[in-house]
Amino acid sequence: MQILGEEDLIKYPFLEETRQYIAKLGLTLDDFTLNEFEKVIRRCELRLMSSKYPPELYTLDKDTDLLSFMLAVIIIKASQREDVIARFAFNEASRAEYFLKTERNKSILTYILRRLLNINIYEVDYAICNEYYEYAIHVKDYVKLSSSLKSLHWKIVNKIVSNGLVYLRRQELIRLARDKIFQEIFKRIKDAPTPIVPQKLQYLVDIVRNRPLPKRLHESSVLTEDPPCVKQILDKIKSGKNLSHYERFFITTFLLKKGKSTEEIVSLFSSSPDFNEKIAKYQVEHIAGLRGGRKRYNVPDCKTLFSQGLCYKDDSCNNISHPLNYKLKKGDKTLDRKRRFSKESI
Amino acid sequence: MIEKDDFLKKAFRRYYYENINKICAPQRLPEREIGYLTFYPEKMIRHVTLKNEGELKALLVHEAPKSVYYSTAYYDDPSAPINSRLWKGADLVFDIDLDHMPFKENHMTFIYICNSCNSFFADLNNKRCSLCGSEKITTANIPTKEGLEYGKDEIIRLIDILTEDFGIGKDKIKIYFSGKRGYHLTVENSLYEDVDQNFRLELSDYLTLNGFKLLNTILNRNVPINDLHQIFPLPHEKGWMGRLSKSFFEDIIGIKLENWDETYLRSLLQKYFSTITYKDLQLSLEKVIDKIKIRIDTNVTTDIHRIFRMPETLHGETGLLKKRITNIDTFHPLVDAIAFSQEPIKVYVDYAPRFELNEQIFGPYKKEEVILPEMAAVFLICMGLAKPLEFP
Ligand code: SF4
Ligand SMILES: [Zn+2]
Repeated sequence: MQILGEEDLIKYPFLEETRQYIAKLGLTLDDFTLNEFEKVIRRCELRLMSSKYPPELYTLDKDTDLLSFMLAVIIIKASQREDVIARFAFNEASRAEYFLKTERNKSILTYILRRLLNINIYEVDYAICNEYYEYAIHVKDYVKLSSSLKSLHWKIVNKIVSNGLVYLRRQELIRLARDKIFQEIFKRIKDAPTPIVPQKLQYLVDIVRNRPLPKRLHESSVLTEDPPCVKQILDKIKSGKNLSHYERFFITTFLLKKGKSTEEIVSLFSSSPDFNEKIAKYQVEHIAGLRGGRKRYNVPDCKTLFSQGLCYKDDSCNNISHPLNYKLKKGDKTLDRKRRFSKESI
Repeated sequence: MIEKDDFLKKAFRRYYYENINKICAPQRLPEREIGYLTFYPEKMIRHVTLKNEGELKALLVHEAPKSVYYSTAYYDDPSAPINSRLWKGADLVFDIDLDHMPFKENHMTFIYICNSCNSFFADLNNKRCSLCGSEKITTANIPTKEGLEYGKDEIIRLIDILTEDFGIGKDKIKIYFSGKRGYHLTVENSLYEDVDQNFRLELSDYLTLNGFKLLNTILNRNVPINDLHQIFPLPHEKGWMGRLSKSFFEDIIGIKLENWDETYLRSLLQKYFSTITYKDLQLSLEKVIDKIKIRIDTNVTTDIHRIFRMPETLHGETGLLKKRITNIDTFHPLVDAIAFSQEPIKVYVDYAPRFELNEQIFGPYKKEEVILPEMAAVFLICMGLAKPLEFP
């Protein structure tokens, strides 16, 4: 049995231990207005505002760090903005992912992963085709954990499955953990009662609340006549989900071809939780041929999209071979893209 | 003239009456939804609950249904509307039907029926009736012994994956001849009972190799083909990789895998890869994938509210039983699933190709009165190919 050290709590402040620890301190929200908590507030501001909360350790004591996490959670909740909750949860999850990836002590890593995922995790030692598998988890657990990851890579058909276990590389398991952390933090904040924040801290709530809403392309110009594969991605962006690399590539080439400017496209991406303006701008301009190799990329065809698992073909696609050839006939209604199952079939 | 449905209903009722002791209710019967199809009017009755085996037996004898189904799912109240009952879990079920197999001439005998002039044909030109030119054609098919043997292989490979990859105990798996063209496999009391539709979708994609991309980890890397033998998966590997390798050695390289050691296989690979290109290899592996994937009807496996034919009951389109298989090697569907007797009955056959039942050969017949054993008479009448002229 591993005992978590101070450092581990600072790395993974969403663990149950944090709550217990803080409960013992017996503080109320009003206490934070006292001067001695100045450091906590500064730390909390950092957590709230930077898109990547600095992962460095040892800069502060445990109390300050954990309290700043708890306070940030409260402020975020008080802002009552779901996109902000999602962004915060994503940042915290990415921060934890960073620590997991750099964890040197494997037994601690395994212990933490078990704690985070709350499932049986087996350490294995299996290699095939130059790939090395260190962990295995039950296929039922695996399917639940990976259900939000849409790339074909995560389908069990593309995993080594044996005797009810799915074999995973270290990075893959950490990636699953990140998603789980994201969901837990998101859910915890969403389900919490809205707190009453003392006047003196209200400015923190305002900062968060007044953060500009992510800009979107003028909806009607984009949404009406796009093929299902494009709509799928736009929906994803709208609901604040992250895009895979290829999804981003495809939607960028497509929108460029439809005459959207690079700025418009970058601002479309700004609602993704993992948005980083600099990187997004670079990528979009690269694809547009404004940078790097000066090669303007073509929009992938249906076959390629299909093989990337991005084709959501329905009747309206009419056997076209390229999404740019998509034309929605007047009066056509796009059908439900999801596979449908009749409830009462034999 | 005797009504066909009247004849069949009487025959089915007599069968159930005389064989009622062979009926054995599925486990946890009161938690399942029961459905059945009546002969006349032909109607599907759903949302039935049965408290015990006695009630099931009474239903079979009293209603003599054309077909009987049970839900693979367990509910708190199976007769409530589907949205207001609590879903408590479901068996894993798989349907392997010759319809889903790559078509082979000798697996099924086709019959084309013109609904306008009521003529029957063994084959069809231009989708039209050659007598009256109508396009209102329906088809019927009779599986052959060869076809049904072929389906067995699919079941055997399915069992291998369920046990090896998913760790399902052999004792949890039951297999059946479906009563018509294929086989059913159910897994009861396993730890997969509570899995949702998403899991069942993943499972069915796993079995059918839908979305399979692992080939890329073998092929799409910067390993020159001359070095590929060093990382190519071997037959002992876990999951699909092992199966893929096994089939590659047996079907592409063409060796028997009995006592092999790694060095030997790697040297075989090295030799083989020196003669082909990446493209050749990719094509071979695609062939392998097509061969080893399991051809289940994915709609059945992924539907968590499905009703499924009940074991040991009669199939309304053949008069054969959905029959439990205990030893697949010695099981003969067209012998072991026969329900009806050898009593001779006079029937009028519109059309029947040559077919086999109980190791006896019948037909072909065309517009003639024939005296057939009851089992063959019921079979043709169920298929809509003959009319009864007398009751047994
Ligand atoms: S068929 Fe082409 S246009 Fe339609 S969804 Fe698929 S990829 Fe998009
Ligand atoms: Zn005709």
